[in-house]
Amino acid sequence: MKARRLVGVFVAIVLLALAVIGCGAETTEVATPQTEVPQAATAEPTAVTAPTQGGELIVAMAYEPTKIDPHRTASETAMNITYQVCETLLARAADGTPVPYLADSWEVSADGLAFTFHLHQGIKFQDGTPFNGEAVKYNFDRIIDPATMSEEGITYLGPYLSTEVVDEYTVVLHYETPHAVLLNNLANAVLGMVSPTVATQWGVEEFQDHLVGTGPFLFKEWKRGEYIRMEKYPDYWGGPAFFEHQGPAYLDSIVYKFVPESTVRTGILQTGEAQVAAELATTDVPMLKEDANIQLDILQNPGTGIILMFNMSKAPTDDLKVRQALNYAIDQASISDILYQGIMAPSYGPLVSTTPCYWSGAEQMYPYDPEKAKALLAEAGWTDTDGDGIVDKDGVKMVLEFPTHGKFAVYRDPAPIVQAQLKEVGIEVNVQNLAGAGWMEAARTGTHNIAIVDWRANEPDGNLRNTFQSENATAFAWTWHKNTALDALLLKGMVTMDATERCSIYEEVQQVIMNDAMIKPINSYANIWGVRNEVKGLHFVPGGPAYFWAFDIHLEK
Amino acid sequence: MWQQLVRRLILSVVVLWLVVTIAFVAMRFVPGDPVAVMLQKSGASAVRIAEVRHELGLDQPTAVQYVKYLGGVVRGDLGKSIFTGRPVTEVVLEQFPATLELTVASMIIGVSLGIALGLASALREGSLVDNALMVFAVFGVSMPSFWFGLLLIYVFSLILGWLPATGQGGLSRLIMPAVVLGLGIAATIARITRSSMVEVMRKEYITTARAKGLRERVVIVRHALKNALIPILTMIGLEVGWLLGGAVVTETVFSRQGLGRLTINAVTQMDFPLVQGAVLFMAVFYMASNLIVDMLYVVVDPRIQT
Repeated sequence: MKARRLVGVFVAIVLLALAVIGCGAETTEVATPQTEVPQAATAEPTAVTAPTQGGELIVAMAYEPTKIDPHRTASETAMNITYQVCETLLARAADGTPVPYLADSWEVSADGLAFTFHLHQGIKFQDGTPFNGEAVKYNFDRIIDPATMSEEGITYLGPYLSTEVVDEYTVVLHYETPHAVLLNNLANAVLGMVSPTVATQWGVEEFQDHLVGTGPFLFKEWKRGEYIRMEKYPDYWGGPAFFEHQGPAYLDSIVYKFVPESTVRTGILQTGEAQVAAELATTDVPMLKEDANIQLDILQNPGTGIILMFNMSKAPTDDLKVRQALNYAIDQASISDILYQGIMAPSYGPLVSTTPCYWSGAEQMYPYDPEKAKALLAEAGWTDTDGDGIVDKDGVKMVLEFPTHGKFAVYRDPAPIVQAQLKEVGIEVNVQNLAGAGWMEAARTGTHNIAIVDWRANEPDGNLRNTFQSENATAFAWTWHKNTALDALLLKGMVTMDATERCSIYEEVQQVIMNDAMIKPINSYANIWGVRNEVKGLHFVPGGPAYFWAFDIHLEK
Repeated sequence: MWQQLVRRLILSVVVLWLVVTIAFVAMRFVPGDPVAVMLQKSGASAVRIAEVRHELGLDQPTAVQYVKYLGGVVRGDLGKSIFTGRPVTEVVLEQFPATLELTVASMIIGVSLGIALGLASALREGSLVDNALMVFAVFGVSMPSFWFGLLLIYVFSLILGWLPATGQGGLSRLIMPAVVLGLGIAATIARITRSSMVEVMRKEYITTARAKGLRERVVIVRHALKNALIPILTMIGLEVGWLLGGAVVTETVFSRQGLGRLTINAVTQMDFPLVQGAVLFMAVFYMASNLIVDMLYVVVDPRIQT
């Protein structure tokens, strides 16, 4: 396996070199570390002529989802697909504030327990079922129904109790405890609206092959292992105000192709076999920048970024000085440079800078300083007494267990660099490349010292509660640490409706986490999209850089 | 012949039972929990994970699960995928046409090219042509399909723009993956053909055939090749079996459907019923292809029947 991977790397390098020569570039561009400013949407200069109707858009995606039912899935690819078919009650503007979509307006009760929505009137699902209060109730009840086995929607819906249908076009969502981020979350694809008639008719498991929503595109075919195809819905209700146009979509059809090899995605984007490609490799970025036919959109994902979580219930990472030493000894900037030429930007706290309520104070807390790391280790009683280069204490060498995900490059690739950097200060790291299930199991059962993970939500609650609430240790809170004050803060953040107050709570959360050196932040996760120039009107979903809306897309030759 | 066939069939059932059992047991020894993997993004609590495990019957003792599963298999029910809830048989069958298409196409390239090269090489044993062909064979065997596939895409899709790089449907999307797999097979078969032919050509009956004044072409095809065919057939049977599941890298590079990719994905997700079902299917087809090869032995060499 190792040999094969080396061969793969070699081939990639050779092909890259060939391609660069083939492009006739006089000089090879040396990629300098840089951070792209995330763009919420690609602003197009106003077209002089009317947009072209028709055509087929081919999108090369990296992964194939196992499920595309929005209420059941947790797959980013699936969500990209369902954004075209199933619409949401609200959307987000570029600044993160909620804007009307299927709901025209809304009110939140002072106690944060009741959310009233006034629905846009006259909308029908693609099968003719009216979109009304009953339909909304059906959808939210379906998400919390255990039989649905919701993987992600149920979390975003939060402590939901019931939906009250006041009249045909007015609903009230009742909550057990205030759900501060509901309005934000209602813009997520996993809370999209599906046709009650069709969903009931097919049942939980088969509905995804007959997906019906209110959206501008009809789900047509899922050829598993190859593609998902959708077609324009001619009787579309017209669309919300934030789109560029009203009426049916411009495109005749969209094909989402599943192309697992990133070099192949890059290749078919360059030849035009695909017009849009997702999850391009950072190594291909310099070459694609030279290609005049392609626009690159490098969007830094909000969320925790890639973080190393230290197991605080297992020696020696239960010692604060050791964890602080680890923070000083690992240089995330060089990891970002070596692996991603800085494209996946280094991160410094439990939230990356594109996340709301980001606390920039973490940036200066632990600068790279191996000498300080050694001093801290010595203070904690760890010194190299036998001269073998590894520190020891009471006759025991410091060996840290670091199980990682051998198939997921952004989790796998930092591990050897971390291992090398820690070796410099006398810490031995036992890196284990496991399959996805094994990686989870090691951290869920607490056998690790270092676990690697990231969470990508566009608000602090989802990111921080999943990874730091102590009761979630078997899910993702892999520091295995019970800090009642931190737990209380996280719960308080969840129910605090005032935005400013909520952010100050999350700033405190970020401080607690970094003061306690619970984690070592590594880098943000960037979605690298390639879009051919003929594609106009592609809008990325604000706060969701893995998704775009195809409604306004038109192909101009 | 019939008696042998019946014996083979009974033996097949035993082998299939072993295959299913090994797949079942092996998956349960792999560390990890499919439900935890499935619910990883939902921030599911331990309670929720336990609930879903219960709904899927994964909380029952392994022995009970095994007996239930085996009972289902006997009735032709391979269960449902943990991740999608779709019937395993349906999931596997929808991938099968793509695998079959690629297998047949690669075998046509591999067998025809392999035998031709092997013959050419054997008949000019020790010549420059022979050496050149065997160098090709070594190259063909050792060439990683990942590298070769990307190279073909680079040349024929990116530079020349002649062939589409992804998907399936039509000859234009089949030819590159079939060549990648076919050349590897051709190399193996060429080597077997060469050594088998070189051996046969030294037999006395070849000398006799020539002494009878038969034309060289008749000697080679009717007398020599027919006798040299047994090891070649064996190799073909093995290669078909390998293609059913081993084409995963090629399937991935060319973004094709296929049993190999399905199985690898199922293994990494720990989708137990899907892994077991896919392995069972591959075992059935592997055994079927070997059974056909065995029956062809009889056609090629009537002595084997007795």
